[in-house]
Amino acid sequence: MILQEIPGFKIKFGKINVGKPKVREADGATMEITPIEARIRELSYAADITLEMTPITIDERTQREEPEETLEIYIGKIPIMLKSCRCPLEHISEQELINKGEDPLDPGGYFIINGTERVLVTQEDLAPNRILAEEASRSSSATHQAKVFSTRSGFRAPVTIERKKDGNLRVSFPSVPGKIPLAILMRALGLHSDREIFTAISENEEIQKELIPVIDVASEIQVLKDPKKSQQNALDYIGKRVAIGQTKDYRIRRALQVLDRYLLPHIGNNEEDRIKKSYYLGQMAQKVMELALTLREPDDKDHYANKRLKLAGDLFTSLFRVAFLNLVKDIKYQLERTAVRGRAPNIKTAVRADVITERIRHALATGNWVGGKAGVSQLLNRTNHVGTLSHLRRVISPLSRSQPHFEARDLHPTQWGKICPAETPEGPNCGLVKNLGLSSIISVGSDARIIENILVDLGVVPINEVKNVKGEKVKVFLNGKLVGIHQKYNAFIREIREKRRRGEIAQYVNIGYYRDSKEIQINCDAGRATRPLLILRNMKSQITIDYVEKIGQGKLGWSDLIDKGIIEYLDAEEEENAYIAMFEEEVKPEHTHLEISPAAILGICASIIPFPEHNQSPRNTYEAGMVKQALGLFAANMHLRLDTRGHTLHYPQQPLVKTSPMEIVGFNKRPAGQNFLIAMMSFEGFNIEDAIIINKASIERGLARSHFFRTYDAEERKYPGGEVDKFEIPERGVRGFKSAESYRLLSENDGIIEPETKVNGGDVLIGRTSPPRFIKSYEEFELMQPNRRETSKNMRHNEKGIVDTVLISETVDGNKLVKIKVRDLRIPELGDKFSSRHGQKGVLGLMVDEADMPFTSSGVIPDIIINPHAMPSRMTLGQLFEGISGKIACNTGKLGDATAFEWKNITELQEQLVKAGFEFNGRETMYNGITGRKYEAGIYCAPIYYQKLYHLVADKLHARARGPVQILTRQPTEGRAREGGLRFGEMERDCLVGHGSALLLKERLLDESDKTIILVCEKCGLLAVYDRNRDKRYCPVCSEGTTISKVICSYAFKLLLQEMMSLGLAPRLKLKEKI
Amino acid sequence: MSIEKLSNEDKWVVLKSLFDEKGLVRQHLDSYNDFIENEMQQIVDESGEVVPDILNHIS
Repeated sequence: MILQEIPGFKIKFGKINVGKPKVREADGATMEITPIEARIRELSYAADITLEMTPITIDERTQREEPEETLEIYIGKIPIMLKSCRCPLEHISEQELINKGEDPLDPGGYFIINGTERVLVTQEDLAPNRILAEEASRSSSATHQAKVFSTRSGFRAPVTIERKKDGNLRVSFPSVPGKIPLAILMRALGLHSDREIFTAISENEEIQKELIPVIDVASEIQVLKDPKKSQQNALDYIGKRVAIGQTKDYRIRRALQVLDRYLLPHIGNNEEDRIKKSYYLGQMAQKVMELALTLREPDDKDHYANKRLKLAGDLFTSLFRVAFLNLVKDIKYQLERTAVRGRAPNIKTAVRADVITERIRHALATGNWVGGKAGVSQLLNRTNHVGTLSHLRRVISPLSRSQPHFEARDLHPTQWGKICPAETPEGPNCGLVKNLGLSSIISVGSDARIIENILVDLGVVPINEVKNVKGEKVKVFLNGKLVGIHQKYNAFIREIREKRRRGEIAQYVNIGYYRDSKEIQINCDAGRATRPLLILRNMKSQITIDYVEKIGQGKLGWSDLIDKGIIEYLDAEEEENAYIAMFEEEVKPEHTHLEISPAAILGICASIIPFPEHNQSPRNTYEAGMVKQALGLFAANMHLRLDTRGHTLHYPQQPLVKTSPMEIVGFNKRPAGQNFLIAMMSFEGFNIEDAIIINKASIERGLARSHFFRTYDAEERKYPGGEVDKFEIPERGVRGFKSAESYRLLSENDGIIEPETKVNGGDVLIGRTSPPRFIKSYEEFELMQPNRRETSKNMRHNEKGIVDTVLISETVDGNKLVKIKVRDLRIPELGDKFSSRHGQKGVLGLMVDEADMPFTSSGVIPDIIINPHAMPSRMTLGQLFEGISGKIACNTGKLGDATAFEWKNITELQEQLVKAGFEFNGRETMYNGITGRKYEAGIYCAPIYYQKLYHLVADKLHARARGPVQILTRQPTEGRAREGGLRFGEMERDCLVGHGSALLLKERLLDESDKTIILVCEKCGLLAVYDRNRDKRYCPVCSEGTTISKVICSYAFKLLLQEMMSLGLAPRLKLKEKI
Repeated sequence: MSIEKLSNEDKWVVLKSLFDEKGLVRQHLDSYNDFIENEMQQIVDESGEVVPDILNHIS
């Protein structure tokens, strides 16, 4: 039956809305959740997305649209960033945060997916829609090239113009194979006479001379005096590449389609944009020619003006776009399916919300993003407060880690103030992983259309009216798009800047003028790294003491400073036109801006370092890395959190010598170290090679004590078929039953251990049984089903501790969830790693009794003895100054200030020290604790802030004599957690070979590893079998009767034989008697 | 308007006001807020509507 009267149907989309974070429980109830609940119960902190959809029926006869009722349909869940506009925590008070179980100092800015905190790390990329000209790589046939990544709505089209050795310019762009000569393309887009093409590229005569071969190539296309025909021919040339073998008419249409969609899409997709595109190509050609004739330098890809930072929102944009388009396709398909069945289309059933929810959740959980990037979402670092902040301010480059990429890893001058010069990891990621400076602000996008209107109002002549203009012409670009030209550019630029300072234009709009190429680049897009600077007028900044007072009292804020035109944000491009003074005393008439404080160039971790300007720079880099490993107070709500691993220092202290940014960062409220009293001398040879000696009595009084927490969890899973796990003390008959003793600590009622129970490695924490596997197959054969399996969770074999918290809850699926947090007291022991704040790391080498420690004349006994040999080659004078400053602080009661670049003269500090009654250089007369004799030399003795790093020896100590082996290779397992062996690697083997100790080698590699005896059939050379029931050895290939020999070899070899057999090869062994 | 020299402390008072207002992770929050409030709607509007091809699917 054919339904002839089914009306046309479509759905129109309306407003999209995001709700508050909620969870849908197993019993159907929906409840609002707080982040702490999401973390504990392994939920995702996500909210519903609803979209207004209006079904519209189109009457077939009248073609009139009749909208029906607009419904708000749920289309999926989106994770909510903590403290964002949809997070209930955004604007609540400190006390309310505490009531909700959150640390008030937690910065937010991350997501919670399945209970884990995930950061979307900022990705650094080349700016789209900018022309970059460079010399072509040696492998290509071209000499120079210009490239643009033209981006529009997520679609990225790289367009390249290259100059070949014979002077020809060819263009390549997506979806067209091969390269097209420039002149032909420009003709296809609307220019026709040679003259027009020349002027579109450049007015410079020298360049125009070089362009002759370019025009020649296109001469066959040209039909003089008939521009339309030329254009058709040019389009046909392209059409031949795109749609081979079709009619000329179709080819031309297709060529136009391709040009609109795939060539420079950022300029536009429509017919009127074509001529603009040809001018843009002219721009690109001009750059290539100027580079070829050495009129300009190649573009610097590492200049921060050419970089854009993709933040969480941008990443979500590309992800959501893909997910939404999938949903639209799916809705379409579902509607078509219901229509085929003859039923009326129903929106609610057509929309499957899982599509979007799952797509987003999967990307955030795994870190694999659309576009192939991996590692975009990372587990938030919670070792200490500074580590968390640093993770949230990280910038990562997409370049490959294995390539050298020297220029990309270098510190570029344009990174000043935007990227921390010290904080970058050592090793393969050096220079590719960066961290934002303290005062960096990343620009937020503003509407380009508004800006464009303002530009036209200020006298920019739009591009189509340019031909009639005479005189000086400076090109004006907005976000890489040519808007027009301006004749009085100086006044124009000044007016734009004044408008911005008055607040008439958005704060993040930046304007840069290039004198050489007569271009004005205006940017209002998002992702530019900018920094705030004080504006200088008549050599004076506009900020007064009065303002500062009002800020201190809270009457004025930062926005007021921006609105009043006192401070403005400069990006890397506008910075090129500015002359910035570092200090107020140095201001000259030519200066345009003044730094607020040069110490703001450092990032979060480097801001912890006292006197960093007095250290050799790599030492600051090491310390910036180690600050993230220091134990301290990582969250005030640590008793509510159940992180897999956590550390807490018992008595964290604020440093005696602080820096001003520390207060901003919150280090003083979540410190990660203690003030140790140092003596700098060699002692008994136990502090050689960076080892340190600690006073045993100080440790006994609680110095550097910490607790280590580990959380174990288990869930009562449900299996298909109705079977379910159960938390209980397993019975005797259960498969895998350990001795009754192992379960002694579990409670009778629920098989879970009680808090405050002492546990050791191997003890069972959660008793659980699971249903046997493969029930179905047993049912078929009517065999007796095996019993339940034992799947208890036990303590890691080399750890011990006390059960701190037992949490029993329910997951979102309704399964019972148990989490157990075990704490272990870690008192400093030999092997634990410590560090000062200057990259002076060391391992504890000796704990000395107080009586044997050296003492000063006033009876003060130091906590730690470090070796003076650590100082000469490392040149960390910052540590010595920190000590002196700390000594003064102890004496005067006022904390020392070691902010970068502020402190003028050492004599000041020295005078203060002398006034306090100490020697000017920080030395004291000390006496040997063992012999009582006075040390001849004065010994540097001062308080310095030390950090305990999380490389604790208890977590690393490992030994194995014999132990578990892998199932596949029968070789010892790998890793401490699996009681593994240490690899006797190739180089170690070489050493034994060098010694000539062959049997030792054999012992190491065979007897102590995977030695096996295999049976080999002498006739066919393949592996034979041993039948245990009949006690017979035989070859399955040659049946009975052949001789079977035993051969000693490694199991890995036998595995190799079998792997080869699985490929269809017959590895036949030819045996000979052992001599 | 006489402008005296600002001491180091004063400079940090000014910088501190930046963080009191914006916090330390403003870049993530601004970007995400912009996505939720503007970009999401833009992505929906790019599609605009769903027109199923019903007539062709009737047999």
